[in-house]
Amino acid sequence: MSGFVREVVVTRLARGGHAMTFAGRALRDIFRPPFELKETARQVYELGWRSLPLIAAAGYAVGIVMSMHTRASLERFGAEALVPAGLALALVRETGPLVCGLLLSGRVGAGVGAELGAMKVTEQIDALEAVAVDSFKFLVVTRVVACMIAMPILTAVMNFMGMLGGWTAESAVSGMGFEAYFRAAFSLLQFSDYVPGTLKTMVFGFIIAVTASYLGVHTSGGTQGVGYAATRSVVTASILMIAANVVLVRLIFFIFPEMAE
Amino acid sequence: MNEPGPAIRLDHVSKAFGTFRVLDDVSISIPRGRATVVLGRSGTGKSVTLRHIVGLLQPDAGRVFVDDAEITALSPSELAVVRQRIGFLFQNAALFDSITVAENVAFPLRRHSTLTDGEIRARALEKLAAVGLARAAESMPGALSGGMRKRAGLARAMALDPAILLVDEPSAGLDPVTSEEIDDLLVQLKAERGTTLVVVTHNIPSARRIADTMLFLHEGRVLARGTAEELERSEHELVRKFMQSEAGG
Amino acid sequence: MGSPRLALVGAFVIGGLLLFAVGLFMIGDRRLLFSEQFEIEADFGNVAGVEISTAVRLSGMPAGEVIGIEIPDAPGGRFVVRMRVREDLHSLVRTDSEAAILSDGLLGSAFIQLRAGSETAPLIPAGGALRGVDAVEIADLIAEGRETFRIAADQMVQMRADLSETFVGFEETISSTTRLVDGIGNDVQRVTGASASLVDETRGMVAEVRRVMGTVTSGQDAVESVLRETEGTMRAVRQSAEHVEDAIARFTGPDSATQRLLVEAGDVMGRAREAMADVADNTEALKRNWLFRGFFSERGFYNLDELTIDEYRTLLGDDRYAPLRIWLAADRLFETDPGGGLSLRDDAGRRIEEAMGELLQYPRNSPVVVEGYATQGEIGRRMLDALARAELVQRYVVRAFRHASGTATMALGAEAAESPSGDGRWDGVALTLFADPEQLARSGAAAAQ
Ligand SMILES: Nc1ncnc2c1ncn2[C@@H]1O[C@H](COP(=O)(O)OP(=O)(O)OP(=O)(O)O)[C@@H](O)[C@H]1O
Ligand SMILES: [Mg+2]
Repeated sequence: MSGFVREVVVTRLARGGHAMTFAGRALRDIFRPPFELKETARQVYELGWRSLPLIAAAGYAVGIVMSMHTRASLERFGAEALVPAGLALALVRETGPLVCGLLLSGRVGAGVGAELGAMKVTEQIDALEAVAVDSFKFLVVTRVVACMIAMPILTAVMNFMGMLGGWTAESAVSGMGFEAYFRAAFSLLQFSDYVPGTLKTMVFGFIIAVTASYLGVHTSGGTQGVGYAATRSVVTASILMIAANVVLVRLIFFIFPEMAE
Repeated sequence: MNEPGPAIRLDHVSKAFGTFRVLDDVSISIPRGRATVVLGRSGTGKSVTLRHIVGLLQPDAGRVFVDDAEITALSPSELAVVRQRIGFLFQNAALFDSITVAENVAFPLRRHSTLTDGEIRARALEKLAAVGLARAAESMPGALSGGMRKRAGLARAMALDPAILLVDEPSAGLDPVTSEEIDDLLVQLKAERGTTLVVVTHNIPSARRIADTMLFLHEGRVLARGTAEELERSEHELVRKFMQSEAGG
Repeated sequence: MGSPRLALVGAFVIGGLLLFAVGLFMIGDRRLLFSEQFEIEADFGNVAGVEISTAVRLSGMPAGEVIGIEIPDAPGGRFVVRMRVREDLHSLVRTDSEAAILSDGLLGSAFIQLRAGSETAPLIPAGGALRGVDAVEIADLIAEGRETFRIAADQMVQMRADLSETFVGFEETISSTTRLVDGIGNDVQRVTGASASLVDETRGMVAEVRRVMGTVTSGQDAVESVLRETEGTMRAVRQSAEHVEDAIARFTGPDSATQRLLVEAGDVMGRAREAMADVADNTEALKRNWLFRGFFSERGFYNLDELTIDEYRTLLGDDRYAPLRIWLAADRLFETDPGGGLSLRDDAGRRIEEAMGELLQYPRNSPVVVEGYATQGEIGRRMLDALARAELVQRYVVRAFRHASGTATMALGAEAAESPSGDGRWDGVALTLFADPEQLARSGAAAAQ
């Protein structure tokens, strides 16, 4: 029994180490030529551009809902005037990056996990290698870079759409004007909220793409394995991202102490 | 290309998956500019052998040489150079299913040639025509039949006019006529370009048409090697039985 | 990868960067990073809620932000807050401008409010220092609130007395009306019935108000609930009174004797209404007092009952309160009716009004003390007379000027050091206004009579 447990622990650790090596290689290869620019652009299109409708719609909806909730609670203190700023602060600091990350880990995690999984089981990855293409660079690094480019952009879109949603909700209640709303929304924002909040999503992008790629590339067991890789990608990427967020928030507070209030 | 010695050499190669030994101290030498057919029952490690040659699998023990370069000891970039000289038709074709058939064939050219877009397209169509697939050029791989996929895969393997062509079951799923055409194509390649061919097949008539030499793998070892006639007179009953069959096993 | 797709990728990346840049610009713009600006500083004893990038406003308009806070060298020193302010507002910031730390409501964040300077003062130079006005701390406000509450509680006691008086009057009215119309006709029966039930109802309400007042010990809730209840009761009483009056007016009795009785009843009603007006005034006063801090409360006392005559005299001599006094002689104000009761002469009202007219030029929250003086009889008699006189005049003042919030009486006997009689004594009253010297200075008031 204890032998069995030890074996499980050892394999788990070995797999974790394996995954870490994979991530490290991805990080290193980002900066190593040759760069698969065309394929990266294609992935930005697939992972970024094609996520736009989802992110925009979700951001808009989140903005409306959050605005209504914030309003309901702030109204009790007679602080309705703080609704736009409160919404913007919540969106920019945490909600935007996190919701965007979760949505992307759903869409991209499943997509990349399944795509690479299918390529793996149909030997397409071997075929790439056989035509002298570095499959890691061609498949993994391109997706990682694309995700790291797409995440901050999508987050900016989500933040904007969220504020637009907030404005929609607000103008329905109080008839507030567009410009006035955005001025109010930005009235409490600092660079230290905005810049780290947006840029940390590059880390989210890295985590999502690396996790999905790792699980995809290491798919075994045919079609069933592909489905498994897709599901695991979403779950694992989401959990890792949330965990990384905790660390990142700590780190950001450490670097920008004025944010920690 | 005129270096002496075999094009490919497996030197005491052993390979196991888990506890299952697929190759057990196998040594093979494949002569340059000749066609070698690999025979054997299903699951005896024919595909595994081919994968070792392009470095998709590493042996547990032993060494693999291609043109006297030890595959197993090369750096990734050196390996890439060797791989550009090798065409590989996978047993299940392994077409990239996100791009068209023509793009599949063009893919190695785009990566490794300095040709213009137009030249690449022309070359791809030419290779597709050679396997009788000119009309399917703009189809997506998913829309092809098994035999068509196989031929598209062969076209891709030939795209860079490799010095070595590894072909895993070219005639599987093909009608006898098409199968014969493919065999002729391979023979023609060997004759015109001096391409070294390694062909895995279960189709004995096809093997006879192509082969200069034959290898018979069985239970992790080379059970027999030689010309078709030599194998027909093999001391092993299994080999003789194999050679008597007319169609694929 | 076709070129239209490549264009989309380009649009996506560039659009995203632009969107991000717009956000940066919005923040930068708010922080005035893109406009010309100048630096100034102001010192504060307390910088609660102020930090780097706290907003600065000029007369409410966004004007800049805090860029640094310097810590004093020693305890008791003042913090120097450095700010960056838009150059285009420079012309409004003068050497006599002031800076204060305010916040947007209870929840809002702190900001620094600059007051535009006066036109004659020179522009503040870049890097110049403004006077910082320290924020009022919540703790101070609470302490103040407690004091105010004490005053409010006193006033409630007064109000309770008023209220019961009113109801006595009201009950009387209704019962006399009932007596009057008793047996006159069916119509009247109905009125009577209605009146009786109204009386019961209002008695119930009065009892409730009394109960609430009796339990009042502390807290704003109590004051508020008392105010609410009282107002509700008063409204109900007023309605009842109107009903009764209405009924009386509509009733056309058979003979002139009845008519006369009805006129009388109307008079009684009138008096009851007057009493109710008193209560209303007091309620108003209570509310007002609750809401602002009285002049005296700021200095730690208000209820003159707690002051000895000597303490009060010391207070009069204290320059800080700048007492303004108007002396009124007894023989011009009062008359004694045959029964010995003291009342105001017919023209007394005009005199008091004149005197008050003088005092009303000062801020209305300045307390007025009606001092009573009397010279006849021995000391006890004098004090009683003085008190009666003071109270009579105060009542008039309250009724006429609704100056309920800040009036008190003080019986002082015969001695009056500064009286116009010249002999250090006074027979009559003095209306003494205690004014805030700062407010006085501002309104540039004349000396007392
Ligand atoms: N990646 C792998 N992991 C585990 N086992 C493998 C792997 N590749 C091959 N094998 C095993 O090795 C053995 C030989 O496989 P191989 O594909 O070489 O057979 P084959 O001779 O090509 O058979 P067929 O004629 O059916 O294609 C099989 O039993 C197979 O299960
Ligand atoms: Mg095989």
